[in-house]
Amino acid sequence: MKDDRSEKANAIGSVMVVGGGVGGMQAALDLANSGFKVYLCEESTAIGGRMAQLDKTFPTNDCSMCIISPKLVETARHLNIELMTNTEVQKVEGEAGNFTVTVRHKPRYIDVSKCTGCGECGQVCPVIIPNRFDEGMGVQRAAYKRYPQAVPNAYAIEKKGMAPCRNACPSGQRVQGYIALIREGRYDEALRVIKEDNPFPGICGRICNHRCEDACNRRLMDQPVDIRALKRFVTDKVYEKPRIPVTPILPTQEKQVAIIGAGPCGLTAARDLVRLGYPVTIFEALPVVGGMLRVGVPEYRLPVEIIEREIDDIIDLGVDLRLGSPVKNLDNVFAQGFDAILIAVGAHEGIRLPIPGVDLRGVFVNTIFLRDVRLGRTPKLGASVIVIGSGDVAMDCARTAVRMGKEVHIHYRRTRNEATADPLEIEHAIEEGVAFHYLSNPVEIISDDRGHVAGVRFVRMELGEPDETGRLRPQPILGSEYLVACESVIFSVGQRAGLGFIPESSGVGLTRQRTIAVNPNTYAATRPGVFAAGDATSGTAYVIEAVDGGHKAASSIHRYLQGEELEPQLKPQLPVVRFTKEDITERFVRGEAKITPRVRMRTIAHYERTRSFDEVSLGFTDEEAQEEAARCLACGVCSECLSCFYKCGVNAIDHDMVERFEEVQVGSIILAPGYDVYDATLSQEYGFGRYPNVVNALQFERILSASGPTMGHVERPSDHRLPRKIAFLQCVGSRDQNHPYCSGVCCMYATKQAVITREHDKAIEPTIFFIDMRAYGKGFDAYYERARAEYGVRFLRSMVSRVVEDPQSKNLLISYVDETGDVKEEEFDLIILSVGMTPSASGKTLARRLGIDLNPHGFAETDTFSPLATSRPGVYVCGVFQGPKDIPETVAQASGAAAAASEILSAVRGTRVAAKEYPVEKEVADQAPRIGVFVCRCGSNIGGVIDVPGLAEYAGSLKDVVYVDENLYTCSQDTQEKIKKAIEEHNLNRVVVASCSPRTHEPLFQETIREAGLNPYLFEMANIRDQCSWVHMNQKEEATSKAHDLVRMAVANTRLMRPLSRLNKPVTKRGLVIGGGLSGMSAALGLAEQGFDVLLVEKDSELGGNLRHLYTTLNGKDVQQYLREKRERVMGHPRIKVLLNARITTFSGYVGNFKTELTLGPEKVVHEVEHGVTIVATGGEELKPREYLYGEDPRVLTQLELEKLLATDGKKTSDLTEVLMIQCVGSRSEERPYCSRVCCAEAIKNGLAIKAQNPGTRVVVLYRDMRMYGLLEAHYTRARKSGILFVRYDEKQKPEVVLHEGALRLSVYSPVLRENILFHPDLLVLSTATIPADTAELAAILKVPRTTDGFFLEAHMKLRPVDFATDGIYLCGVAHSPKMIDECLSQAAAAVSRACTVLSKDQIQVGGVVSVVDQEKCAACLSCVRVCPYNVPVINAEGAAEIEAAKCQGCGLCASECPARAITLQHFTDDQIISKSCSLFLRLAPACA
Amino acid sequence: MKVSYYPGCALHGTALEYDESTKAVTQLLGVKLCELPDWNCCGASSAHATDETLAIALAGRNLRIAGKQGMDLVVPCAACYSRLKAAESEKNGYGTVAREGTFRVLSLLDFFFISGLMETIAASKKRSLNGLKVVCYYGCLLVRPPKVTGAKHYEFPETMDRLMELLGAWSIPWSYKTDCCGASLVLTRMDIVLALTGRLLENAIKAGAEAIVVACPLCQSNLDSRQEEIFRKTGKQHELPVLYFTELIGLSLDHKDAFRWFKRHFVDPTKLLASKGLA
Repeated sequence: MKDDRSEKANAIGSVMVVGGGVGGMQAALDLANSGFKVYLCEESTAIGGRMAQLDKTFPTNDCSMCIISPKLVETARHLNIELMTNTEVQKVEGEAGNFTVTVRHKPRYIDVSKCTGCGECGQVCPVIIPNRFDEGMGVQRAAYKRYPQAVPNAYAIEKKGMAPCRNACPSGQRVQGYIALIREGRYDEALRVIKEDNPFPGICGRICNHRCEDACNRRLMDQPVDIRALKRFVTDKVYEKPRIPVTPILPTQEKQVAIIGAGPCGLTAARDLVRLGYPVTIFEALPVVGGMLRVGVPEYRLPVEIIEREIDDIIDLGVDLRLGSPVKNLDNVFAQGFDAILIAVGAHEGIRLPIPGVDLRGVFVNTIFLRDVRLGRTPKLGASVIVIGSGDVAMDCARTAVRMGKEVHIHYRRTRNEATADPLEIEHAIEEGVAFHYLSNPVEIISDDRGHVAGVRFVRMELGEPDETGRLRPQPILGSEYLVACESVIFSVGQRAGLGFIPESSGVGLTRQRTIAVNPNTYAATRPGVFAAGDATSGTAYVIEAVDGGHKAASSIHRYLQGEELEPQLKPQLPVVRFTKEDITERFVRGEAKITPRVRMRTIAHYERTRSFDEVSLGFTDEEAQEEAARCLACGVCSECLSCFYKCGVNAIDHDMVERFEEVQVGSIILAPGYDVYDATLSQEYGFGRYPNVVNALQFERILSASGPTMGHVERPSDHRLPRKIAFLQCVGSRDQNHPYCSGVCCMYATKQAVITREHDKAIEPTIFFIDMRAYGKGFDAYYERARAEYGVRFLRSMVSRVVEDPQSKNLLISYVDETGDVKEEEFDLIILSVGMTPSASGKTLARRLGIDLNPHGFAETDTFSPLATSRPGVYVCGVFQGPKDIPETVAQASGAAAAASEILSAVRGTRVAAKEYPVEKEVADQAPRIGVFVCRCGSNIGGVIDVPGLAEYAGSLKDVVYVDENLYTCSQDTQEKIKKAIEEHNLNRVVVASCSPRTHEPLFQETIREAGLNPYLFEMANIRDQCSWVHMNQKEEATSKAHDLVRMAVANTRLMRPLSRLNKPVTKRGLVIGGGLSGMSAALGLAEQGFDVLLVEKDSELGGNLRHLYTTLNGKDVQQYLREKRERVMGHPRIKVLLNARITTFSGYVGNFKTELTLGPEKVVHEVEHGVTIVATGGEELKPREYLYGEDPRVLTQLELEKLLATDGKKTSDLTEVLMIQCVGSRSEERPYCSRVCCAEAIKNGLAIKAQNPGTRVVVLYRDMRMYGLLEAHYTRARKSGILFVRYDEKQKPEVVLHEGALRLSVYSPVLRENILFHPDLLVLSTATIPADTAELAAILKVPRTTDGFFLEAHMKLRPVDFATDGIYLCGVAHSPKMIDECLSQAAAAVSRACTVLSKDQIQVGGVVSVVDQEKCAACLSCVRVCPYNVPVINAEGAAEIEAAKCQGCGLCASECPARAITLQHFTDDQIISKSCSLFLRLAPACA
Repeated sequence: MKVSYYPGCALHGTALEYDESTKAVTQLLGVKLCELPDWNCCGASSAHATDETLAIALAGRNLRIAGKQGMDLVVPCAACYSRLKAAESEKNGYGTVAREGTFRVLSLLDFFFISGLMETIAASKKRSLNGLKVVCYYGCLLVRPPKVTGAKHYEFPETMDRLMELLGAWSIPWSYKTDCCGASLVLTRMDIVLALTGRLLENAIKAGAEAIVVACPLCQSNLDSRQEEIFRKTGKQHELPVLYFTELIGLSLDHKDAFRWFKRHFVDPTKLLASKGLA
């Protein structure tokens, strides 16, 4: 690591930590607390990582959330940690000491700085997706907070991209949005979503050509969602109700717009422009409004009321509509004072084919025919009618003629396949009796003698090669002409615009197709100020395209009139979510989607249809609509329905957010991206994802968790019944052909889950199917034994081959082979797969982007002697990214990584951090209380249940309350300013906030009042949300009354509050390290490199500890060489002073100011040292056993003795015939019920060395469980491949060793073979226990606790693995528990990191909420001394108890125990508590006041 | 669309209705099956159990013919499919022949999925098999070993299930989709065969199935023809029709011959189909 050191002047005093799990948080906190600015970069929307998902943690059964939550809050609130959520590292340039990191902030769509976490967006969000935090069990909304305690306390919106339906729609209808709202029965909102983009929902719901449906991903599975029918349904639902008249919009713009044509395009543009404030006039040639909608589409498809209603909603906004006003000349329009003109005249001129006879009487064209029918000018049709063409308009003509009582034939020159009409229209036409004649093209219309149609001569066609449109080109068949008699002919072969009013001289150019030439982006015609859109520019198209044209033309006209650039700015678009067949298959396989064909819309019977123009399709019922809407696959996740946008009270929603790149300067980088949970669907034999009652372990954590999908009730997913028999299957995704490593934690978490399950319900019988029980950590074996003996968990050594489900009971039949090789089957109610840890996908990406090496498994490559450094200098690693490990190891490694990352930056410590300045505190102690109460509505969270105005009024009536305010969100930024102002203006000296939980919000409000010059202890919260409105949601009155009580109590308490001050004490910047082994030397070097003086004391006469007995590592590294170098560095370091042959005799003081006395050598020279921190690294040693003939026969050795022999005397070991090794000698016994952790690896290392010297030597390892955890597994595999034999023995039948005729004879019972095996080894090697150094005396001097096994006991097994409960004292190495070299190094670095959080400060603050003793009252009874868990109280020279403020943790135990009431816990004084209690009972016993 | 077709001996003998229904439905769906000229035995049932070289060579010769024909090779019989795939994946011998050509070896079932015939079926479906409860049985060779077949969901294949759902039938999930029916032991260990088929039939019924749908002539004949014997031996009467998936497609497409195929079954499905309004 020396090489990484960057002492360049340009080193940067900040660090980037990637990954916000428990490791990332710990690293960030350590760094920020030791003088470095930290950027904490987290991919998801909240920090907390996997640990936040867990229910309990082993081996202490602590609630995971309870213990991680304070860390979350501390991280979030730390002044020098910049939290970057939804962010990933894109690029890293530069070198150790000075990196430039480019990060990508992904859009969250909710502004974190504004969001108050109230959750109302989530309540209105209609999009349901599987709950991510609950691992797919239960559902969440697209607007979500990852979990209730999430930090930052802000919502986010999940968007995958744009749904294909929206992408396909010309006007970008947010289809998925209104469908989701329909599914929820929120019809008015659904219509709102449609109308925001399209003013004609009722119309499009009937006649749209629905490109959305053609694009629908659901078509890959069965059929597209019937989007058009749903659109129609929702308009029908809303239009059933009386129309609410729209409010006219008064013009705000000077310039006027004329629109020619009152069709869908012109009307859409009119609506947009009126909304923008322009006065708009529409000129319409026809006597009716609506254009083709009104005169082109038959009544039976589009009832006139619908058209009128939707058009009225536009006209009534204030459009000046002039019917029967054809425009003859554009110049006249400009002359009338209009500043811009939109031409939207549509395509109303029908086309006749150029064949003889088209002008005969009885020949009609589609547009005029339909218009006349619609306007009541019924055309005279003969009895038999021929319609030519096969588009939608042809169907309209034919079906209209049918309704007029005519016999109708459609002739089309191609086939049905090429027909452009909607297939449903063709189907309806056939049902109604229209005859279709394909491949038939007219060549002449025959006249009768009166100039009237008598028939049509057709020619038969055949299809040739495809034409430019891709359709097959029809060609006439020579000589196939034939005559069909008829009385009327209707041409329906296309329409075009009537553009007679814009001659060439008008300056408006036309295209060759006789449409108006426009710029396709701006819709500007060739004459300035003239725009055109709709069919007049595009040729015949559909309503939705006209709407799109109208929108775009309107915005273009707006830009034109505002004098802006005409070309629109392109908005970045989300990618379109297109599923592949595989995506669909996955959903199908996971059971998330089932084949359900669309709900068919009812129609009136065809025999009734032909008699009238009544609407044919009848629409959906509510149930049908909701069923159809539920078919939507919600492709884009968020549908942008904007429900959240309208609901949010603080304007935090921003759907237009885009990703943002940022460059950050840092000196070093720590990677902690964590792991992915193994996808158990890949182990198909267990049926995960298919059988509802097979869940993975993380899902089961969620089931066990009180905040999980079952509220902590153990139930199985299929029927929510309590499972009786539960099976845990181990090593799923670990120790298999694809994962040649052990995940290291599953044995323990499965055991924990089994225990917790038993605690939930004694009736549950858990069985754990396992290979080896790897309970190798501190306290793990005892936990395992307790699970077995006390909790009755059944452990079954076995291999599971498959799981079969009973189709009726949904129970599961497990087939397995037991240890003896018997094949068995057993039925269970629920199966939990103990899934392994897979290197995370984001870790792999990070490695690629940063250019760091991964090992073959995909974890970050590190070296045994530098376990925290990646292959790139300046980039460090911790947690599972480095290899499978549990929480304490991750936390220790995180602290270690922080030390490594800051070591190279020690010269620039403190250069990038900010310190907060507060105004001088006001002196208020002697003032009469002036209390301000701020009552929060929390949106509707509180306001919807509790009568907040009433509560505020009540608060105002309380004694000493001089100011009351109520806020929508008391925690929002602007409210903080309001509070400060109120303190100022009303001279408040106490503040009460009645809102949510002090757990999350108290520090925020304390900060606010500090900024206003008040002491932070003059603040109190009343939790009227979590403990009132949320839990009594349905009892509003009672809740309000309870809120009164809570506020009254808070006020009563506040009245007696006193300001508390904290004192600054200087820090002695020197460390004391006890123990000169690997860990102690490393810790000393670490502290020294960080720039602090160190005193390293060793009881022996030389440094090195156990390292002196080791020669190689499992991967072949030279340990002795390493030790020599290390020793030299320690001895030569200017900041390190080494004292050998030293013993500590007294120890006193507190964090930052310790004083230690020691004696040196046999002469016991007294030496005294002052130091700010202490690191305990007293180590341990190999047990010398008293069994198996050890010490009696020279052929019986310990593993360390063998290692020495192998390294130094190869001759003796190279000609051995048979070597036997016995594991667990002195470990996992009654005397030492712990696993020594290192012996399995040590045995394999030595076994492999023997095999390397002589492959012919037989090596047999007698073991109980091979605990080759984590990446050690690969060496176990290597050992088996090398021919080393592993024979299991049972603890109850230990091997027996005797001397038989001078030879060693060993006999052992094999449970696999079910018989005794006899060996005659040349060498018997005992893997003996690792025992702690004798530290009883030291522990007493330091007043720190030890476990019953004699190892030191850390402050918290999970989250404070190297801290003692006493501040300023740390531990590392084997003193903590047996561990490997790399683990000792990580822990030593961790202890350094923790120590630096103290040593880096010039002063530490003491006091605040601490206990104080009234020495007058103290009787020196020692109660406090006995009860204090931190050993703080002492009886001083005056014979009274004394509590050092710097040591006191403020728990209050002494105060409650003190019989003389001599001890007071500040801020929680007796009179405060009594006053609060009295106040509670005020209603019942007013006298109390 | 044109593809090469390898019927194998079963489809020319015991499973004539599989051959006929395959040809009938593919024709309705616009696919032309070009039977391999001069095809020979695939080597299943005996060759692969006795001589590895012979087993690969027999299947390999067919691959060579298919390579000349230059179109994807569609194989309806699961045993033939397995042998042809094994030869295809053989590293040094005939596998290279297969890899030289541009054709794929597809089971008939996979062919329906890969070629877009699902959409054609959806469009040309004449009647829905609504109400018909079936379990889909793929047997052991259609998807396994995954290294040879390339199947992704080798324990729980789902193509046939999706096809059945598309036809309107109710495909019931069950755990025995890919269990062995014992067909290869028919001549040697009838006791095992009866136990295996018996377990399949029993669990199909337990799952609520009214019929078993298969894609292998050996599975079909084994499951269809053993029911009486099982009844004699164990007293358990099943009467569970065992149908080829192609027959059900034919039924749904209203093929005129559908009920002629059903006549060849030991357990006559006509009564069941009639009760669903499908006869």
